[in-house]
Amino acid sequence: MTPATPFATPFATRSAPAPTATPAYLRPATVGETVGLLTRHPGAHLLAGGSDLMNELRLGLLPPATVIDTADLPELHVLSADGDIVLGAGITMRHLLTAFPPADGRLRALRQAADLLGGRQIQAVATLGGNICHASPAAETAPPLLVHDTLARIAGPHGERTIPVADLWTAPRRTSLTSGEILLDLRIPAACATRPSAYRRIELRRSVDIAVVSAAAALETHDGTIHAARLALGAAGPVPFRVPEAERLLTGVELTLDADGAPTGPLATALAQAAQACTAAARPISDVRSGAEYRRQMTAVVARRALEAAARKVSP
Amino acid sequence: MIDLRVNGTPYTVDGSPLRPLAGVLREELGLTGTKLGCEAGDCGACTVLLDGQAVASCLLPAVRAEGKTVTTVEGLGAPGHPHPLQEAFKRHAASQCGFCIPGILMAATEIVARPGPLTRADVVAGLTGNLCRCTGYAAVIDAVLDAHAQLHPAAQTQETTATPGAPDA
Amino acid sequence: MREPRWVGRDVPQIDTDDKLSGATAYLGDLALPRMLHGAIVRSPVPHGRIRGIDLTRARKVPGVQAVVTAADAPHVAFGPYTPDWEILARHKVRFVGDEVAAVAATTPEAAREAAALVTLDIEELPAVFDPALALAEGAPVIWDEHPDNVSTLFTIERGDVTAAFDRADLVFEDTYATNRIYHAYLEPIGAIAAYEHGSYLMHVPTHIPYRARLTYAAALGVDVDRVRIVVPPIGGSFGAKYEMNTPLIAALLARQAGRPVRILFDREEDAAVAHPRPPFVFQHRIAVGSDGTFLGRQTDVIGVAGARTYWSPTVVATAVHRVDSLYRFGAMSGRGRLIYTNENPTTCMRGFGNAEALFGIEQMIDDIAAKLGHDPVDIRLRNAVREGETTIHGWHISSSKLPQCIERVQRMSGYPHRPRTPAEATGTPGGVARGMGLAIGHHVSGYRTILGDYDGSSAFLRLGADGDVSLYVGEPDIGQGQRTVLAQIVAEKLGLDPGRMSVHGVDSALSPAAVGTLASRATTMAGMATLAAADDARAKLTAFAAAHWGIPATDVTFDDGVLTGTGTTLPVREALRLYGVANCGLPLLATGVHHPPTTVPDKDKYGNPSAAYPFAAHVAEVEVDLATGQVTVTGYWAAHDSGTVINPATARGQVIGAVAQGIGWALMEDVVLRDGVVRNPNFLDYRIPGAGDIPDVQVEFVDGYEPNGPYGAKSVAEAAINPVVAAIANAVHNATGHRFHELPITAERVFWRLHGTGPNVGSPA
Repeated sequence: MTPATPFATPFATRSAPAPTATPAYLRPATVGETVGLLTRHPGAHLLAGGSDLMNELRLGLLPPATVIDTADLPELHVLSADGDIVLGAGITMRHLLTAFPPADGRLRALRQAADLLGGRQIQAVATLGGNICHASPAAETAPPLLVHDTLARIAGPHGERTIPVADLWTAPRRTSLTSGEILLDLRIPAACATRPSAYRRIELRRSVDIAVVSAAAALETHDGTIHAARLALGAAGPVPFRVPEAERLLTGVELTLDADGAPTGPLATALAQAAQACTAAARPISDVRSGAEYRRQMTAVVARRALEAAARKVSP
Repeated sequence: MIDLRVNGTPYTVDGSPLRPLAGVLREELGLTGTKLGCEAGDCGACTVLLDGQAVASCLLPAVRAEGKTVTTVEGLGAPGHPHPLQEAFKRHAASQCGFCIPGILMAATEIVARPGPLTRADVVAGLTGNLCRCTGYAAVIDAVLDAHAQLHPAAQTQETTATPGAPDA
Repeated sequence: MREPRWVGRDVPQIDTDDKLSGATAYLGDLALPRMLHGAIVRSPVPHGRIRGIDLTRARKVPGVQAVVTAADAPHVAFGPYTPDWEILARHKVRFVGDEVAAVAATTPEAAREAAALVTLDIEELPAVFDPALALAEGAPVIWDEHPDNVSTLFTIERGDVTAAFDRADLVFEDTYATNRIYHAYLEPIGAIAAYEHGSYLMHVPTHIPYRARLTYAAALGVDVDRVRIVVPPIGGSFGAKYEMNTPLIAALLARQAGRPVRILFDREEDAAVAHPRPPFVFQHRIAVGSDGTFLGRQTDVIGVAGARTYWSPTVVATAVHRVDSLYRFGAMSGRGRLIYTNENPTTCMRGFGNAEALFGIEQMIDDIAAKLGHDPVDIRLRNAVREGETTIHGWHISSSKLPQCIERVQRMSGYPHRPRTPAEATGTPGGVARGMGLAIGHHVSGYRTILGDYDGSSAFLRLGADGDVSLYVGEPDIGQGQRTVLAQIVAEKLGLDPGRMSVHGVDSALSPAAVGTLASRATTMAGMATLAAADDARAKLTAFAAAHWGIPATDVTFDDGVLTGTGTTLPVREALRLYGVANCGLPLLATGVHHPPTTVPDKDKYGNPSAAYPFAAHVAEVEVDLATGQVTVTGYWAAHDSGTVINPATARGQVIGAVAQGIGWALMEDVVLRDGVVRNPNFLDYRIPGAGDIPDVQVEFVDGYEPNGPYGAKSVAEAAINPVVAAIANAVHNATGHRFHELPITAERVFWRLHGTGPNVGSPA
């Protein structure tokens, strides 16, 4: 699963890794050791599930630098769901889907995104950390992590730091991780995990695909009124992002759904306004999948659908 | 040196730990039933089971299979004793050119191993990672449902209209 | 006549066990002793003059055994239609991906590394990517021999077209465009070549091995018998794997290295340089009387050849005039031009120009019906070519159950109850519009002009003394179940179990020469030859039994695998054993030759090129998401006249597979080129439908009998894709009121039609 690159890879310019250039393989046993190796091998690749890395090495899209395997790092394979939820960076989509079945209700948006990321074969190996550190604007799990108010814990040469996940992405395929740093885990506060949430995407086919645009929504409600709203978009700008204006428009709005679960009254009005705010906030690109203006228009549709789906999950 | 256990047989192979498992299976072990259709994880032709889970062997570093059980299409059933899936694919004429079939069979192995009711939508969801250009999937899906019914006679196979890809509401 | 025992039954595919166990060895699974791996150096620019090629660094890569350029190839022009092929580019490169040099090494990695180290010095020339610009004055000239950039011109005229349009009550005119489609078989393209004692041995998954052999021998400058082609199992083709430069490049490398060489594309290379379905622009004019009778038709077609000519010339010809064996258009005139551009060459794909033509024609017929206030079904039936008719081009329709197909598909689908107004279409909840569309289609069962010298087919049966029965034909199985169908035909004649027979893979040193598996001809042509061979075996077994018993042959009967004389019987397997004993082990050899009643069209393109014409009527049901423009096919019904259906399960598989390909084509597939570079050369961005994209497809075959086919059979495979894009487009129109004139009908295109004019959509910025 490698998204289209801005330039196709014509054969003549495609530098296939030569046998002599087979990347060195290192397999540290601790995070401290990993940080040390990352510091000593600038440009080294971290291997998580490998579904992006292996393909990009094959295509010569990444240089055949040293590969550091994270398989033996216990911190990256933690999944703790009592109270605050901690998801190790090495947790696979499959593991997420098993740990949070639909009936669980928590992290619904993230679960739905994990279910749409690749086929079952990819879900078995693709990791949360790999997906978000790959830093594709269309990364499936990014908008859900944003609306779940996720914190990212990072280890590095100068110790650990924790940042809101939004601060992880700086540009397409670029993160704020500095030399020697590694993402350890993602923490979702218990109260945020239980918010009704949903993920929706515009896709070009019903099978394995990458979002044209995507949206995740989460709602915190009391007595039928939205107290806090979260709305995030994917593939609508250089990085996945929240839309504060849309969230503001929804705050304090009464959850007026009709018998079929369709929004009416104040909710319908607020949803329409929030959708428009998404269109205004979007800075999408044109690429082989879609034109920028279609993407922009679709942010309104996908945001609205994610919000409606989240609203329908609010217990009456 | 990587120690692998494939279809019940232990092997030790040389080479980079990062070599894709598919290449090791095909070139070192001669197990060419595992096909390479895209080498990018998009088509599923290279699907094998790793500890019973379907994975794309084209993207799996061989080292990740160390200490685990690998099952390829050659390990599905035995000569003279085909797996119920293989029998069902034959009954339903579910293979045409056949190139995608080993991968589809392995993805389906995980689907049919699950007890309890299996719907058409479940099969479609389980096969989203597998592409076939010949069959249009109908006979493939019928065969998977049929094999599941053979394997789990007690489980009621419900026929429902597939709403593939639809996330849970 | 007794009830058939094998024909018409869902006999399990006789080669399926190996496919299901992983034992089937495709090209990439073969390993010849001492085999090397080849890699091709391709042009990074769309048009340029080669100033120099530096091989120094490539030769130094450890493991490299051969490096070739045009200097290592015979200096001959060749090509299946137009001599505009070179094994490796000699003076100019003409598209991004044009083959310039090649390397063979002991590992694929070394070969690729060396290929990347070949340095090309190319003076870039102005390039042209749009056929209209290529035709314009002053356009860059791609081939000096074709200064107008026209590869092929096809014209045809029947009757007085001017008079027909003059007396028409209404004239309908429209422009329709179809797009580049990647065949997207799962097995990437490849070839193995070896060279020994002046002869080439090629393992090539081609389905026209004898025609390919002519091309390859010409290119290599050797007699045809110096090229032997062995066809391994083919992992899908749909028209792509006819003839290519790849086996020739492998041959040059093998000759230089003195070792066998395999070239095997990866998906990215395959999707960038395998030759797609040519894009077309059609301008159709149809003259109609007020009663709905078609009076005349004019069609002008522009197709894209790309940088050299593969099989697209015949595709253009088909796009211009094949529809005249579906409808009586009265007088017609047509022109087709195949244009060179600096793009990857195009070639044929399932449907072969016919599906492309029907995309426009079938939409226009719905428009004509609406304008005249006729039912779209009635207007089709009124103008349809009927059984027994000879068309304006001399095509003889020996059987047609098209009216029955149309009647059946309406009953299956509920098409008569489709929405009649936009309000009805959008009256459903959920922000979607629903609609249904009908389209009909047809095809051929073989096409007379392909090999030139002859049409038809031949076969031989080898019935061994130990009971082993093998059939040899020259038409390779391409996964469509042909082996099984041919075995069923033998089984029916000789009373043998088809599951115990083998149908040998094609080897030019062993098999009968043949036209090949194309134009939907295998069941009809190889089937008739097989039937003749089985008849010959029957006659020989009957004569042998008569001699064995010392009675006249007329006193011997042969039924259901048992020979019966006066008061005595002999099972066929026992008869074969006795035959072997009596002939010192010689197997019983039976041969069959089939001469079909086809003719080579004359200089005016008049003549009957096919022995049998299949027909189909399809209905698609779609749901259009009004907020996104996304079209989903929610139902699909197909009624077919394929004459007798020899194996219903595999025939149904052909139809559903074709419908799935048509759904992909209609809604999501498009080879996107920018400045001659394929921008989506992978399965993530070249989307083919997955299991979730195909609805439940209902298939029924109407009763029919084709006098020119084995047991009454005619073709299925291409007739099944021909109506699909049109049926879906008509359904989208029914749902939205909008006509879509180009493919694919993407969500983005539909959205901008529903929501006012948007920016230019389609090709990315």
